[in-house]
Amino acid sequence: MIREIWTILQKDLTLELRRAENFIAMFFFAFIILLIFSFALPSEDENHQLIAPGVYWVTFLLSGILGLSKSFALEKEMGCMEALLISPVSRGSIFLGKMLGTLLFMVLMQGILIPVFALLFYPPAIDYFGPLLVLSCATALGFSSLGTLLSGLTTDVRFKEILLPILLFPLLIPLLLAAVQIMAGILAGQGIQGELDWLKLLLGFDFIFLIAAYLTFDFVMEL
Amino acid sequence: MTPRLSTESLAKDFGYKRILKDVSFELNPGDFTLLLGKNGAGKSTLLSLLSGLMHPSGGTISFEGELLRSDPSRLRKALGFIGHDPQVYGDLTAKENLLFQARIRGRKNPGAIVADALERVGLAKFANSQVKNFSSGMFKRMGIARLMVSEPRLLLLDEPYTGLDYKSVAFFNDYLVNFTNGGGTILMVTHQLDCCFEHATKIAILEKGRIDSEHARSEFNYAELIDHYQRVTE
Repeated sequence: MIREIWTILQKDLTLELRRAENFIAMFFFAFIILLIFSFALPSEDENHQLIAPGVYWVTFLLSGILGLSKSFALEKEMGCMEALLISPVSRGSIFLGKMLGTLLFMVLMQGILIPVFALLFYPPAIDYFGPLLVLSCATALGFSSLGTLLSGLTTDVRFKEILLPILLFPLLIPLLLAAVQIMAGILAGQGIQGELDWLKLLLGFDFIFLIAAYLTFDFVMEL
Repeated sequence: MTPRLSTESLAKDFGYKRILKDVSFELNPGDFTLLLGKNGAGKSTLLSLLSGLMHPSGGTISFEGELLRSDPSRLRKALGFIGHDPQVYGDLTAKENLLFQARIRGRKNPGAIVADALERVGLAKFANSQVKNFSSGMFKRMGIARLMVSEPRLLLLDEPYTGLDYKSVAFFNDYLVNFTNGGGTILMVTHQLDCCFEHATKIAILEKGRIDSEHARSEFNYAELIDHYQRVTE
């Protein structure tokens, strides 16, 4: 199983690196959103610290959905999904391979986005780079798990670019609420464990949707 | 002898429309069966059902004596499939595409297997070229290389001769004949009967959602088969 997951992950990473335009589009979109927020919300506002987590996670969400919708599009281009589905690889391995690919790119994106966020919107954020990156990894895990499942579900659907966010965003509300609260705690100097209840919610979300998506991916692919 | 693949009263609906109804047949080791039928008769749908890509609306499919739905992984390990799409990643090279196939199938020594397959299909000098620049004939040859890498026992082929030149057709037919001589089973959907007629062992005609007629290929010469096909599908 690990060999299968690694083979799919390796293939996805190679494809993503060769098609750098997908990553560049995600980054450019995130940059534009942050730029708009930095103009729309003046930095001398005393509530800037309170607004910052919301701005960061909206940026994460909107840029992340771009990368997510491309995950299965690559498989559909020349009928590769068919070949993958009739290969002896388990559906669970396909899910984990594709989910890990999305997760890695999301984490890489966040690694670049945090300094950009500090530069354009909230300079003190750079002092908390480490905890923010750890939080981003945990949030990206839940996002990638649920996103990969729904992306697989909507692959063959008309208007999938519209349907995916409509299905995904409401389900992500608990994850994003937790991420916003934990980030507010980090920026207030309390560390990642500052909002312990929210951290438990976030990790619980990750765990539940990782397992649920793994178990139901087989059914989703048969639809 | 246990059939390699068999169906019993297989049916498939799309919405309210029944595309396949009561399809029953057997494919045995060594069989090279041509599945003929008009456009829209349900040939590709039947191949999708047999490969496990679609679920039947009724009836059963058995692979080597066991129901497909009880353990589809047994079929997947033994299946080679050429469909309408090239089933390759355009941004990967020919070698990378085949290495991916070899690895997900758990083949030992994938590098040597892939190099051999590329050599045999005449794509060795394009091994490191991204396949998005390939011609349709080269895509087909990639498909043949994919079959070689997969080492299947059952081949489901949907119009495999499209885009192949005369030399490639001869090469592909040699591969298919060796495959069936080694106990492999082939079900091929094609409209290019002239390419493969002499190598087939059975002919089946799908008409109005059913296998309307099933014959040993030796019962016909080429002209008689065309005549029979036209009568059945009129």
